[in-house]
Amino acid sequence: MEFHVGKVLNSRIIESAHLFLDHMKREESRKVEVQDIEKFGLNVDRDWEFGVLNDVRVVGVDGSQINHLREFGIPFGAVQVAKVAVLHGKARFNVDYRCKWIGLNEDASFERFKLEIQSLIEEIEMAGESYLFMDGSFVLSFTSQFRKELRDAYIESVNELLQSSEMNQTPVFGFIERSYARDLTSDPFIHDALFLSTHLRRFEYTEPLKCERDISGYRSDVYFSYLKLNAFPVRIEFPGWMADDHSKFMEIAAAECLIGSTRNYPYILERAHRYAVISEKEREAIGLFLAAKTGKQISMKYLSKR
Amino acid sequence: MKVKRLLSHDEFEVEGELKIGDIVKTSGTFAIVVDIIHEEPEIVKYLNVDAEKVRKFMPDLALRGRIAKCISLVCKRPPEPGEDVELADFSDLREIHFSNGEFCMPYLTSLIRKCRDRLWIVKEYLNTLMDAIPEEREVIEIIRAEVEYGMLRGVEL
Repeated sequence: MEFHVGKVLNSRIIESAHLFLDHMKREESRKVEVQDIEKFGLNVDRDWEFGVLNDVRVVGVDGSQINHLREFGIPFGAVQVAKVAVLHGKARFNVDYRCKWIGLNEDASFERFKLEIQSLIEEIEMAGESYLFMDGSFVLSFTSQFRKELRDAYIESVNELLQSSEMNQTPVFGFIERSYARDLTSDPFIHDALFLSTHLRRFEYTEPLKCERDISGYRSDVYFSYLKLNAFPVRIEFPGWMADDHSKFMEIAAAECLIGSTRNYPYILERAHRYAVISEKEREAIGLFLAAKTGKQISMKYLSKR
Repeated sequence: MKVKRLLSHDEFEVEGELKIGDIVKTSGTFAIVVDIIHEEPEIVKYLNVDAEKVRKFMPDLALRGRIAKCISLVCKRPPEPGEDVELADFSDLREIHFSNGEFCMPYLTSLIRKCRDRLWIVKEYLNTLMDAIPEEREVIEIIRAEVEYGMLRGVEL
């Protein structure tokens, strides 16, 4: 039976997994043509990362959301962002939170994204040299399916961040640990990181490359590099002005990853995520509290599933 | 000190140096600390880094771990994770116990129920309350006597 992605099969997903696996292996083994990419190496030796980061202030932002509490009779949700700042080597840190309640007509994912961006811009506007990290891409391919106003709002947020970064000369990284972007190839199966996993050696990174994809409406250039610290290279995005001092910024990003628990993801984003997360138990506690205090009827469907 | 997470509509956890019986306040809640736990330190994920480097380079990791479980006495607004927590003082205690000039403890039955196996926390709290609100000492002493009776009743001779 010939298999291709998109074909409807008369079976359960689990029964067709081996067909998909064969297909994937076949596709990934093909040779692809990719432009020549210059690469550089980091001289990583014992405790190199601590030397690079000593006296460096890094800031990480991450968010989480409570989707609308419909089952508790509360047509509102909320978003929460944690901003963690650490001055490495000086034992100083700070955790700051922002939250916002939102109505049914507002998009929780966008509100969370906007609050993350606003937290980064606030940080940029503060005095002092810092390196800012955001978990995710500045190239918002996923918005192409959204209605125009929402897409424009997403892009405007990124524009504000990139412009603020350039104006204040404050470096900001968009970090994507598992990227499936295809800026270097147009092949549907061979994404950039997969191709570069054999092209780059450990502790090597690519030259800064300008992103030409999905950037209509952007007022600043977005550049990216891939960095290999493990089997699968990570993608690091940054505004165009940072390309001039690229090697210094890549050292900081790599060192921040190497002090993380997996040595492949920035420590500061690990911590921001840890502080930002809202557990399902917390969500339920908030919902039950509000329902009890406002006398709202809890959904029977919700109760039946408990 | 910061609110770590909500456990239910009237219970939450605070990260910081507190002890059992402390009265704390957030922007919309007064609460009593009823338990202290030491959470499994996240530092175990970073064991390849020596302790001095953790302290200097990952300072928030080094500080985390001591968690105080709090039960709300008065809740106008549930605390948010990350919200600041402070120790309440005598003037705060006076403020939450007077409604239209009348002394009241609306949380008492629920507090006793939740501390059934640790009534000494309630007893210590009532002692503190007597110092904070001396003019209501007699009433509080009566309540304390009932709590002490409850404690004795729970002891099998």
